[in-house]
Amino acid sequence: MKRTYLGEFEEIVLLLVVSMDGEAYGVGLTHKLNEETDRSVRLNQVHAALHRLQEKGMVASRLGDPTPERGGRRKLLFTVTAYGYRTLQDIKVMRAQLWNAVPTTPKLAIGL
Amino acid sequence: MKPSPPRLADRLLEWFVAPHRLEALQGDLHEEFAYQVGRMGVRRARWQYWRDVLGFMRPWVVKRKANEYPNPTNTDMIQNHLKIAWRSILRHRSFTGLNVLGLSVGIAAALLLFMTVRYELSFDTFHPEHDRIYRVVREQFLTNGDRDVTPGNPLPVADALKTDVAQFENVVSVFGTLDPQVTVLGSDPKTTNATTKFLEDDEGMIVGPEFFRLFNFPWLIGRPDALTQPNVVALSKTFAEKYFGSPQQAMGKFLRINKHTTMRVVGVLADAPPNTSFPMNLVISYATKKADKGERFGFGSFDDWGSTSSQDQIFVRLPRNLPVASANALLEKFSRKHYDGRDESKKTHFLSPLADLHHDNRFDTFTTKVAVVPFQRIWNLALVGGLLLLMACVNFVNIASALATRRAKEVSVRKVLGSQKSQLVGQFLTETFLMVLASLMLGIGLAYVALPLLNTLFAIPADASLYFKPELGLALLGLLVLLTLLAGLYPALVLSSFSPLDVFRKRVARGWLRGISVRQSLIVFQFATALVLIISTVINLRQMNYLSRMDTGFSKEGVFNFGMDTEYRTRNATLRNELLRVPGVSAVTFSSDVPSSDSRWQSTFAFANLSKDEDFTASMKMADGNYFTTHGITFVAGASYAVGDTLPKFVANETLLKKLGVKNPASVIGRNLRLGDVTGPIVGVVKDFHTNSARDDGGPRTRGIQPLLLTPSDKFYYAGSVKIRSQNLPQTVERIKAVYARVFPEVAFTGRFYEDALNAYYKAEQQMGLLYRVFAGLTIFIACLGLFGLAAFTAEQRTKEIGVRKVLGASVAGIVALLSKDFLKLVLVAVLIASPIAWYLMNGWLQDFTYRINIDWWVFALAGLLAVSIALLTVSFQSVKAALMNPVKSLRSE
Repeated sequence: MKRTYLGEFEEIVLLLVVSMDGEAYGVGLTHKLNEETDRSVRLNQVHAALHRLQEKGMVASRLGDPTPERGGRRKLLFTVTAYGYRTLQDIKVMRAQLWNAVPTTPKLAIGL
Repeated sequence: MKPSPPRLADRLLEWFVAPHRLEALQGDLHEEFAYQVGRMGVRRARWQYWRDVLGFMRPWVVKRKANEYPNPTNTDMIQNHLKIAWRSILRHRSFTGLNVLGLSVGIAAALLLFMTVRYELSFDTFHPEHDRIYRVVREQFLTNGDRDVTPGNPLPVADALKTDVAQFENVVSVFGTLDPQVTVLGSDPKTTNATTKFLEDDEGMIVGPEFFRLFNFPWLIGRPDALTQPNVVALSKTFAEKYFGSPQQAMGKFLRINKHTTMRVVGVLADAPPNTSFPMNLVISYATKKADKGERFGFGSFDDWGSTSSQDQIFVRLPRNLPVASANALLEKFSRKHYDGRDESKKTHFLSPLADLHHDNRFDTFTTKVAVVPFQRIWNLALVGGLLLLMACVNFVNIASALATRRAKEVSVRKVLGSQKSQLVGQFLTETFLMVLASLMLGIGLAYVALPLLNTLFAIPADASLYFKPELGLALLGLLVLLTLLAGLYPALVLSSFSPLDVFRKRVARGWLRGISVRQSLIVFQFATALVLIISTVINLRQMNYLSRMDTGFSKEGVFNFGMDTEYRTRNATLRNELLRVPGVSAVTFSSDVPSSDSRWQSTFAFANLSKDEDFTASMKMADGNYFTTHGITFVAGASYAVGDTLPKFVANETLLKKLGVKNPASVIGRNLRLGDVTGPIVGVVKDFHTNSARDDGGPRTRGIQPLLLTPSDKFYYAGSVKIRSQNLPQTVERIKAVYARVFPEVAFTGRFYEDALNAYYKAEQQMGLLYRVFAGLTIFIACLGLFGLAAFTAEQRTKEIGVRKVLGASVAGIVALLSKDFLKLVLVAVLIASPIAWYLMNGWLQDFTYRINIDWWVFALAGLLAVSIALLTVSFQSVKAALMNPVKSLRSE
């Protein structure tokens, strides 16, 4: 199966775009990402990831409504494309398969 | 009020973010900012904002959408500009030719001048950290209020500085220069019959090894440390080859310096570059001078603070953190410590930068072979270069803006079709650029061909490799841009400002008239500049003529002077007798100085019956009794002492008597004079003759005719003079040489005719005269090119008017007058402006001469007439052509 490579960070951003259901935009995503994953990510990193996702055709963007704290500027809202959603599902399925192969008591390298 | 993000960061963002991304990105940034203000306060939020903005400097943010904006590298427009420019250049072929010719001549001249300026400014700058190297010079406040500066220091100063002023990084003693007589001995120092002798004028330096830690003169063979011992010498490559054939063969060989001191060659230096003030051909170790105790290598001793020779100089390097002012303060303290209480005059040392060595004519340098060039003269050259360029640009502006009417229709059509003004300006600048580019290339070629001129005009080496360096390319590029803007901007602005409506309704004349005053003042400027140069040239030539024909009070004709060696003075009588036997030689004399020289030997004196010395000094010349007949000096009272006379006797000049208040010269004959501990009678009074060169940088005290005393004393006969009355001068000189070699086999012979020597005094002035002539010619040439172009244009403009006038019965002369009148008015205004400026400049220059011409009014009239006739000639060519044209032709098209 030919798959488009999706980086770990991109995967998380894409997941968040899906979860925010059409309301995903730069600042909102950044804040949510920082809260949920306990990372400290900067705005430009999120924008860069979104840009790459769009180039890969996994998200689509449209201009939303202006809000006052943005000085009347419109938001660029992101929604996942069918291809993006499909990719996420593929990743999930593949992970599940791998988990199935994991023994219940794995030998862990804890140096006993 | 709500806090706002930093303005500058926002502006930066707006500049680099692609327009289609800006709104969303900026919106996000502002929202984030508002959020962060609530979380961490305004100050840190602004800080974060900056970080975020800078974080967005990524290619994907910066990249524009295709076709969103014209690509700046789109070449279509430039190609079009080039094409149009090329066509327009071809259409106005003759004007283009005039422009390119004028501009390239201007560029070539300016290039040569700037090369000269660069060369002169480059003197002594090739040493590492040269800006921290200084010469320790001395100022002396004399009791009579005079101040005297000298580059020399008493001999103990160097060692005292080393102990007293620890801050100086290096203290280097230099003695320069020597005029040594060099006898080549070869490998055997005891050789007695060596015959290869050279008299090296101004080529010897005495320095220690530490000299080479300060100055960058690389050694080819050997190391500077070899100069630690006495009686060793290093040679330049050229001198090593001259003496021994090759640098390798020179090592370890022996030379005899000044007939007595034998020295071993311990090193060979690379030849010094031409832009140094240090003649580094024959370098004797400073230890030699120390061991010598002032016997042969300079005067004075190493514990005598009282006497100074300007040849004993000291150089220091300041540490990086020591400003000159503080260093001077240290020297002031040093001077007080060592001089206070020694005598009544105040002496103080201060620092003079190495870079000034070549430019400060208060001080001597080490060699007379390279003249000191004051900064003033260098800036004058740069100014002339700039003016020439400016004049060439003025032509350009004049012709281009005159052509504007021709192109008014083209401009208007373009405007109607939607051209932006900026696009039109761009197009006209492209045209200018092409022409400037062509001129620049032609100019560089011209400059290259004319490079040898540098040698004649400025006496600087004309080796092209000296100047063609990478940074010159950069400078030329800068010149290209500068000239394009200078010459192209005004016409471009005038042209692009035409209103299409006016042009189509044939009302251009109004817009064109506005340009006329600018053009007129530019012509006036050009001619005024040219006139200033013409007037200066005429005055310079007259002054030089005056000096060479001036009655100096003695005769120079056929007088041949040569050096004498006082050590063998017992053979002087033999030499005289032998010389008198040479056919053509009519008189022979030995003296300390020839009548007019740069030497300044001065002495206090008094009448023997008075105890106090006179309050002025007399110039001294030691001379035998034949001096007066040989040099054609006439007596007004008394007569010369006898040739063999060795007792103190004096001959005074009229000026001395005048200063003493003596009316009748005969009254002093026989009175006794006292000079120091010598007393003797005055036996004669001579008519005044020039005792110094008419232009002497030593200040007013040494200029022209000084009070003078002559006395016989063969200890000081350094010069011999022969009066030759012969048709065959070279042959006579050869015979004199042969006699000299027979009588003084130990001494190398040098001599030259007095007239040649005197001409050398005025070499700098003569060079300047030549310079003036060349550049006056060039400015006139460029100004006339411009005038020629404008006249041609005017004649063409008024073709129809002329046709109508002719049909109505106007004469050819009347039409020529009509066309020339306007230009002549401008040239006359230029005469009025230029005359006072030229007078002021030349009056200042003449002040340097003791004997000078008056500036006559007719010089200005002549220059004005010259300019008017040249202008008339230039203009009339065009106007006569226009006037002779058949009116049928010019009117038929209507």
